[in-house]
Amino acid sequence: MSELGGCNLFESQAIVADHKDLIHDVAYDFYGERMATCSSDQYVKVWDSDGQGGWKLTASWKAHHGSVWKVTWAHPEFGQVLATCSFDRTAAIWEEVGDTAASGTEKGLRTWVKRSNLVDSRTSVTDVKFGPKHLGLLLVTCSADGIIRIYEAPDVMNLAQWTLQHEIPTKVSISCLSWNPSLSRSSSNPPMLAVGSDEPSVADKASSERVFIYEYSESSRRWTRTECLSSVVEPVNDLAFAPNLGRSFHLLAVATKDVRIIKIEPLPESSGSANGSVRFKSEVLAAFEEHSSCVWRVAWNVTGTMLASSGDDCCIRLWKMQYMNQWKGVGVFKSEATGGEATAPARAHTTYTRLAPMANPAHMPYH
Amino acid sequence: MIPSNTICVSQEGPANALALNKDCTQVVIAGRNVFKVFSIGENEFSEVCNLRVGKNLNLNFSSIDVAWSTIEENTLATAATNGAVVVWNLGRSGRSKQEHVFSDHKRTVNKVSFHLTEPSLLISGSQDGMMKYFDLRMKEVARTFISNTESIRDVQFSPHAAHVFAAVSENGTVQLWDSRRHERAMHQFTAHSGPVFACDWHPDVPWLATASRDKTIKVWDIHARPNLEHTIYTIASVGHVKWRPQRKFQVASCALVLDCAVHVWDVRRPHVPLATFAEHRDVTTAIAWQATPHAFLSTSRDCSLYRHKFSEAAHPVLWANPQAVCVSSRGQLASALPDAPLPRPRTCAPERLVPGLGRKQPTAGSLSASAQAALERAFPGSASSSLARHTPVASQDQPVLACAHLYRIRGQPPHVLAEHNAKVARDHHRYMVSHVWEVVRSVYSARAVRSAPAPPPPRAPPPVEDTPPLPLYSAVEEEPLEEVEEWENRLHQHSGVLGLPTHAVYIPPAKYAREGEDGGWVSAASAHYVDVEAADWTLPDEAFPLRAPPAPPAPPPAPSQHTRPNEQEHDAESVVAGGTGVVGHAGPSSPGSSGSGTGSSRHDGLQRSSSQNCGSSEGEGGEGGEGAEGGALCVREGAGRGTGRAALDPAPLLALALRLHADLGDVQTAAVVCLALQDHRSDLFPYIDESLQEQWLLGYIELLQRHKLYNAATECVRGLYAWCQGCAHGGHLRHVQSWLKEHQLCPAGCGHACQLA
Repeated sequence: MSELGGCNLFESQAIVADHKDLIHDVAYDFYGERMATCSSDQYVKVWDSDGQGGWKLTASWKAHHGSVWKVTWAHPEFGQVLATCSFDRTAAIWEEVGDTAASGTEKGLRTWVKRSNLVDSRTSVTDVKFGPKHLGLLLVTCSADGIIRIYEAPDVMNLAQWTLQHEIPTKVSISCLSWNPSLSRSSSNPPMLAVGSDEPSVADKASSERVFIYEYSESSRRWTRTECLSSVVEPVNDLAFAPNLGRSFHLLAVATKDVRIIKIEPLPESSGSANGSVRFKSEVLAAFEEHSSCVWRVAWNVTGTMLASSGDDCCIRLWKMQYMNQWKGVGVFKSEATGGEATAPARAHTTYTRLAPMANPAHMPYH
Repeated sequence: MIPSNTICVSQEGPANALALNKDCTQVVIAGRNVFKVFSIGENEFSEVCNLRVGKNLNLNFSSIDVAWSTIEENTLATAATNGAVVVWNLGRSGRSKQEHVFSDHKRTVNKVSFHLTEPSLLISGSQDGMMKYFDLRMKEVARTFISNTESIRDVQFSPHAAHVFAAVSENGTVQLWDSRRHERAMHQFTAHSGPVFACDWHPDVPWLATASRDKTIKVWDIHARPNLEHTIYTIASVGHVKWRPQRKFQVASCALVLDCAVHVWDVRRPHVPLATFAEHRDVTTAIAWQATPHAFLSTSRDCSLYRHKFSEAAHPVLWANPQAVCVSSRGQLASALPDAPLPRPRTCAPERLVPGLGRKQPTAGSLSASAQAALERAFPGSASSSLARHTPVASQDQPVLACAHLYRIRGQPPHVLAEHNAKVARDHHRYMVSHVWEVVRSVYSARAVRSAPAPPPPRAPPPVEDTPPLPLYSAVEEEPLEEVEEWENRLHQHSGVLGLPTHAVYIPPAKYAREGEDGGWVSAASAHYVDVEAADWTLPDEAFPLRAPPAPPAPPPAPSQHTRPNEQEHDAESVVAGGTGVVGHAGPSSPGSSGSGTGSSRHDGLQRSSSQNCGSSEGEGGEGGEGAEGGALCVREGAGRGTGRAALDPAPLLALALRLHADLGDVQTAAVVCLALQDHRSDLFPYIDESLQEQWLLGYIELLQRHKLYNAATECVRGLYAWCQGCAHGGHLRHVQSWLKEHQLCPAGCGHACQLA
């Protein structure tokens, strides 16, 4: 028990970000050694881990003319590449220039160059995500007017050239999207996207689904909506597929009025291939109301066994799978609101948070 | 009940400008093809007068700007594209209301403004860079101000000093003039890096807001020396800017291009609009507050005239995501939470969609008046987030990573690897994982043992009794060691998948060799073994050695273990449970693990009973059974019979276990077991297709890469590496497989005729 308890101890430290407005997104890179933040102040900042637990700001630049909603890293195979999307209706591709290998000890800021600006949207671009690596260098954006756009860089060495491959109109405002990270390349697991809509609930509107699954059909070379999750009818603020790692089903976390964990199980090819009507069986594994308010973000750990969520109660909550598909809250981080002092001085204090003990450690196969 | 927005769509064309009369009951709109006065009703506009009448509709009617005197009820002025400044008198009888035309400007007039207190004074700003001060009583130009700049875009009298006016120009400068002195401006400063399109004096404090193509709105304190107070960053060139009445810090703006919406900003929070009105379908050309903070009018290039209620604003901050969370691959958590979260009233669903031509923003009009007031108060102070990271003191992945370091996946027979790996897992308190390894160990040690001594019929008793028959545990430790020896020998022949392991596949334990029986013995064993191996990659349906009782052509094998007492020799059915090798470490930590003997396999706790059933159905003798009592976990069965061997196939159970672990997010176990099975991996193919196994492998490799455990990751890949023993060329198994489907010769071009075993 003691060592298990040790596993659940978290050390919390504040970082002085010095963004001039709200931070909308934080993204770790593939290795968890770099971190990018973006804010309404139109700046993107990149932080590098020094390997001893400290983080150092290595780049900060004005990326857009509007609030920067999301920032995301490309797989390191493609270089040090970021994508951002903004209220100014554009998405941008950034690449770090210079010798990134001999870094670390170097002083001064590193330079990020805008390689491409994607200007197809006519409204705010609400989310941007790189596709799974094995599909090549793909980028998907979605916008408030409900259009999903999928871009491809045909030459991965040339980040300046992106071709718009697909434009998928959804007719509802789209707030978030997530690639299915499945590594499978078999035809029964085609590229898959989940998108969430933050369209407010309107009483007299017939279609109330907020989460849609799109799949790419190799034969028709089109993306088609193959599923609407009927279990989610409230506006969706965020969603995320869990890393798949060879599961026989997909796990989708949805941030709506509560935290949902939805299991999406592909049905055998035989049952639905002819009419294509039913491809999946979806099941709500968990719906946590603990935030007792709107939930804004969900994020998975790398194995898809732990989910972090944040909501309007200004708490980060952690959820873990206890045993087959039994999910349970295991921890809460509360933000100490300082009360509106915009430029708080460096709060270098450290707090420790211990997660709730497991009911039975034997039920946790590991972790 | 809030009255809905008032809309008027004019058919004639878009209006470039609008102006309200002094008590805000009427509005005039003017454009190239439209010039009308409307009265503003509660719910509609009603046309009062169309000024674009007459026989010769010359360019004097093509208006860039319009102004309504703030004193005289009936006096209007327009700025025309041809440089004319036209004064209109609504009180005139007859259809034409045109009172006077000043044609003093040589180029387009961009702006006309009435003096705020002198009813007869009018000023104009023109593309020719000049401002002219007209006296309406004298019908003449009283003064001309020469700006020395390219062109004047806006002129506004100050509400704070009657004789001061501000002029902004296309070269980015702002000039402050004393209207009594035309020689030179009082102040001149460069405000923007691009053309300034509009300015607006704050009604209460000496602030001047300027709007520019550089996408910013700047607020200048014009006290003594102009001083920049605030900068607002917008997404597009700003065309117009108007302070919101009775709200010191709020200013409305509209864009010249790109953005159709009208935004209301709080200057203290310069990056996010407080409110947005997105009703227009095309860019907004003019805005004017109705002298209250609650409503304003706007015209747009989409030919519409709108009256917006502030209560129906959309608030982008409410649907902007204020929070961020991310979990790194190292288990570190980063979060950004607002320091002062906005009050978030339960947004009620709007009962109806507010009518609008353009696309509505989400949440538009969903706030109650009090909620909106609360939002306005909290808005400027809510602009900071605190970023924090939460590092697990002991990484949650630590056990996984430690195991990744310590796991062995090659170089030894599966059950030895499994035993090692079980111990590794156990050391890291991963008991379930350890259990799986135990299971693997027992299955494959049993198999290795069984397949080894397919003895010739005249079976020579082993010369040495390693162990007494009954206490089975004692044999546990020795058996695997022997197996290692066997396997190490075998490895020379079996290390690759390619190649032709058709000879001397199996070398019997030394003690058997001592019996001088190797000859026939070995060939029999190898016959069996080769068969199994051949099935590995090519014929999955025959992949289970255990299911292949017909395969051993050998006489009824009596697979009593070499370590088993020969008392069981003839009573071979009652061989105890493959005893030694299998029972193994049912040890302290994994009480469920059990093993069975020769015939089949191991079973975890769940399966034990079923295997026992199998065993008993074979009707084996009982004496060995006594040895298995007391949770000894060994299962007796009629191992001696071919039928007994087929009794239970471990592969589906193992497959199930691996799938379970994969579903639990433990791809490591699934992948590493697959790897450690080496050649036996094919046993699983009927239950876990190859693509899934590949997926596990890729997932595990990615996991290792994220932790930069490249060495461990490379080990995994090597597991799939196959080479030809003939020419020593090889490659990724899959590639080699596909190559050999179509080709005979080695892919390296060495001319060797490789074959895939």
